[in-house]
Amino acid sequence: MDRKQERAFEGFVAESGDSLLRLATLLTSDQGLGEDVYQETLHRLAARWSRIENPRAFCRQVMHNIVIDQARLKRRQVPQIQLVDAHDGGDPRTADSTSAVELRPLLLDALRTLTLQQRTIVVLRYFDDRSENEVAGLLGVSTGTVKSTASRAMAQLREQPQISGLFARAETEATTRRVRYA
Amino acid sequence: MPEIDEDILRQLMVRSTDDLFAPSAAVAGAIKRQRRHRMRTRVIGVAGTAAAAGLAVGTLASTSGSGAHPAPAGPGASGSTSKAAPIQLTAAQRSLFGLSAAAAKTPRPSGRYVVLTERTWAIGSGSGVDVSEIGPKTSVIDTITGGGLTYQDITVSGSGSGSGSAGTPTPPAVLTAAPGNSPTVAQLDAMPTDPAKLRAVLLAQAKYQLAQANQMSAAKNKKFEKQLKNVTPPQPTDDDLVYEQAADLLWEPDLSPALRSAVYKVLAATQGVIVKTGAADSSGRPAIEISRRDTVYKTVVETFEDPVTGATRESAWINHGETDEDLYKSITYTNTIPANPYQG
Repeated sequence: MDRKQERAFEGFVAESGDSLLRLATLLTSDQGLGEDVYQETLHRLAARWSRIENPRAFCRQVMHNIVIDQARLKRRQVPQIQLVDAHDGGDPRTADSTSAVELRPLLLDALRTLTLQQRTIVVLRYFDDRSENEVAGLLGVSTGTVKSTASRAMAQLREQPQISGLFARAETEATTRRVRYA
Repeated sequence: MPEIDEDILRQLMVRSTDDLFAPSAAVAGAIKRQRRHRMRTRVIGVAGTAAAAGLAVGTLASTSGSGAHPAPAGPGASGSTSKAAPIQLTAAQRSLFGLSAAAAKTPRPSGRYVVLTERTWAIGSGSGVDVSEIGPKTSVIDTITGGGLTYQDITVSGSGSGSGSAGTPTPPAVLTAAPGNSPTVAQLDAMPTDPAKLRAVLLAQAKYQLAQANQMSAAKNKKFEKQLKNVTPPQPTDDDLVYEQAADLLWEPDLSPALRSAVYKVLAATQGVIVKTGAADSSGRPAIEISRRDTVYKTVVETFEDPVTGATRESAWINHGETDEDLYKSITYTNTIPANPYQG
């Protein structure tokens, strides 16, 4: 990478770095792992920068590959008891969930209950706004699989008490807004 | 209500991560690692021939490692033993000491923000030689926090990564740099101004960075561990490392007069440094050109200095036919952040 390419690389990261980090966090459903995946993705992107036409698509693919590798590695490891931060176990509908710091653990916990494929599909479809065709291409599955997996994942998330609470709250907010502006 | 569920989940995912910001150090780390990696892989290929070459391009000699008492030496003298000859400055050393004196008496302007108008070129020889200007830019560095921003003139043709192919990202008009991106005045002022001590600090910094790069590279090449077992890549010399750090430091615009003066003295005691007086920078301004060829990677780093003030005007990095040049058109100081000069 010459300096000219370094400038373009820096420009791309300045523009897309935040959203890539957020994507990595959601794909791994772990903030620390997300940072690691983000960092490794940048290294791989930098190594191939001059040959890449669509850096964003490349990053998406790399993140997916790393997450799969990590999942395989994890499967071989002895399960460990994970200490989690103590969240307020109260009804999230009454909590002020607008803060990302409060919302994140709830959402990441819920995403962690999905299979890797479900999580990837849900994050790419609804956070990264990728079409069903694009997601299917990335994962090497049919569009029908993307559709049905997304649907099952949504239903599963709905069953999570924390998430269903958040959904209910968001629906209430949306209804209130509709009534107010009707 | 599938549509509503999807929208809500989208909103939740956005809201739950909207306070996450990518650390700027990650970009610098990726670039530095890539530079080191590229050089290292090239080095493994050329190791044999480089060892036989026995290059002796030095026009300056130093007592190895000390940096405090430079002794002159002609080409090829690096392996000879010193015969306690009287210390005699070469023409190159005299020029560097002249720059050191000029820098020492040039006061640092006042103002919190340094405003740098720059031009950058890349001359490539890879797939088709091209000379392209990356585009004028104006950088603003906050000397207190080390943060800042860069305004880029993205209307200039040639801006961006240069391939011009579909999907190539267009650089944003304004790049922001988080605090700590550049050294602060306080950090620069904390560096020693005694040449021998400064050399030691620069060497320690460079070795630390090299160790980190090697560590990352080793982790990455783990699967080639067997093949690389008997390959010992040549290590850069102390002078290689000191020159690279010193040239980087000179490029910082807000060094104190004493520190800039000391850097030139360090260069005067670094083997292999070539000085050309009567040179000119890319915009035709008179300059003193300082250059050195790295003994391991064969990279030449050139820096062009203002003979009157000792300020750095241009820097060039040349490696295997590829050249990158950065030119400071102007360096000014202000207490307010200027508006984007490329808009409106």
